[in-house]
Amino acid sequence: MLEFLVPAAQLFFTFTNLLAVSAGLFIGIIIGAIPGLNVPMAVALLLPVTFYMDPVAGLSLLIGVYKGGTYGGSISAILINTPGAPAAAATVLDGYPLAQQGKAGKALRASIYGSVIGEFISDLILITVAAQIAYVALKFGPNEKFSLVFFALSTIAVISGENILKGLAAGLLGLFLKTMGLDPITSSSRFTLGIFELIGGIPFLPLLIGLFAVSEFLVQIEKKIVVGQRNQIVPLSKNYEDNYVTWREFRENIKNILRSTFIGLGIGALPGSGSAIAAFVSYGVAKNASKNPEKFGRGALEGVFAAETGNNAVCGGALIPLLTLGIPGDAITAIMMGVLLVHGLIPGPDLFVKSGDIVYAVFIGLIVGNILHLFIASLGLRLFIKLLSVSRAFLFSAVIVICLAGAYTGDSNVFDVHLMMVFGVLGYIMKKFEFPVAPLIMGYILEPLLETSLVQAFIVNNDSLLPVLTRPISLFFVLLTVFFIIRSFLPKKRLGKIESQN
Amino acid sequence: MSRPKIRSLMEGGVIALIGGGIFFLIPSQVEKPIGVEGQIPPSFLPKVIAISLMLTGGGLLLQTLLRPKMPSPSRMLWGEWSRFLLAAGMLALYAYLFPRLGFVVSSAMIMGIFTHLFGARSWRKILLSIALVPAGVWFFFEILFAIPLPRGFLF
Repeated sequence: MLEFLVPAAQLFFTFTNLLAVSAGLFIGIIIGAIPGLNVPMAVALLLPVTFYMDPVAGLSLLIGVYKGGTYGGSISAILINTPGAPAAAATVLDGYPLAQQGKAGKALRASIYGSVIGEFISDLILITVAAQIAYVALKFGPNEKFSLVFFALSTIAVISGENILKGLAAGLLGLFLKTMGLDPITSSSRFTLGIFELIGGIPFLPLLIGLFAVSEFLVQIEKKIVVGQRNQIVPLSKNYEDNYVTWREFRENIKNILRSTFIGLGIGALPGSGSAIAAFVSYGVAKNASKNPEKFGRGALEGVFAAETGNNAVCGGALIPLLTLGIPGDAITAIMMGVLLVHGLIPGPDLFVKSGDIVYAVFIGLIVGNILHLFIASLGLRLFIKLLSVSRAFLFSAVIVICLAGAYTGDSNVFDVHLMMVFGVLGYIMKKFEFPVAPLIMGYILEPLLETSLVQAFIVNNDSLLPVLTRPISLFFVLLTVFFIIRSFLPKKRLGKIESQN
Repeated sequence: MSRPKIRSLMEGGVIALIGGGIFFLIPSQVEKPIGVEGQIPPSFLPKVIAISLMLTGGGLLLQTLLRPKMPSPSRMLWGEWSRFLLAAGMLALYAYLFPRLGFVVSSAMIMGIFTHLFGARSWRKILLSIALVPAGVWFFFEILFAIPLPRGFLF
């Protein structure tokens, strides 16, 4: 690890990379704060830009958006009782009551401190354990890789939300979309439908932008517009004490913050578990552990600290499976995988061996990003609050223009724009019929790994898959798959209990 | 049978049909490679996916039939449908005009329509936004990142 630090620092500390992290945080906070805009949409829209940046700058930009967006949702949660991001759904419970008591500034600052501390500790742990996990993963053969990918695909059941079968259908559809084009082993054409542009397969960019951004645009435009309607934003108090967290209040919440960090980190490391789950679990545990649980739901600062620390600690955790095993932990890390692949970097244990300086440059970016996050969020708070009043009409119309430019610039091909529109409508239909979109992306991303490891396993095992069940590591992943399928029923009941208690 | 159950049955049916359709199309849509006997054929994974989709669709149907009660999904009103259809039509028009009129001109036109559809009524703000946003995006991609965007037959 130490041998990479100096080259990594030299690689990271450039004006471009620092600007990329700062811009990512700034954009992410704005996107997270405005209800209707979301982090996957922002990451999808920025992805084409990252193709023309070097990998460290591109990843730093997207990581900045991820962190900023996860925190940004708390601004609207506290000020207008509407979470800007799913991750802030638990912050509403105590954040808005605090704002109604004239302590909006205090709640916002608690959110900033909890988010930054949670991210910082989570990133330190990521940096410490990642190399160790990658070292073990280097020993994986085709059987282990196949069972690992199978396990990752099984977690589709976890990220599916309410209906596991719908999530499974979406994941299978994603797998199918990636099979279109040329078979990676024999180069035989599959499902090109006689269209020349499909010989190269369905490109990632139009699929992503269509499913996340265009579909959301269509969902927003169907809502009835009340001309002149504006968000009712709770104003900040003029009283100094109501706008800042005192040292005593912070000290009383240190245990809460540390506990929520480890909850968020653990949940983030599990493929398929997102910030929203981490936020609610952290909130529930904080309430159970509190000396004054009756205050929760009525403006308890502990509740805001717990929710925001938990949801932001997920970010570091979610990067662990991506960087060490090449398995994206959620839709956003699946998109980040695209950045690595475009630059010829294959995520997984080999990345630490072949491009260790880039990996550690990204790690340095994470730590520097946390420090910048504190300053940008604190200093820009009043600006972000002002932006909540920007009309949806102009925001979403601008989004669609950016979508079109983004989809086109991937290959400078008008066909990609048409594909984006088709996937936009598909994504809209999926949302209307409550089919989750994230599993489709996961299936699309993991299909090449699944197919090549399957073929390799067959060759190595002399046309048999039995060794997948007999080799210890692959058997472990198979058992983990079975566990996750059963587990997928459990967290929803617990979450339902936590939510109903509030 | 209740409306939510009918809808859920349709969802399961559509998934199963998609799986069946993929399976049916495999012989005509998947090229058979020459000289690679003994390996996994290119049609293997699509077949697995198709069968899995059919089973998943069947599972959704069974789940619906076995559930005593289902929550009612939110119904779409005609106003929402019409706005969606109009927006989808405008997006198709945008995709058509974009290479012909160029990025800036087509974006300004479509953005003007969408801002009005979203409820903006101040013509000054609409004109300002359709002037600034397409130009800004054009500047960002063409000048900053040197990625050309279509200019259309006007420029």
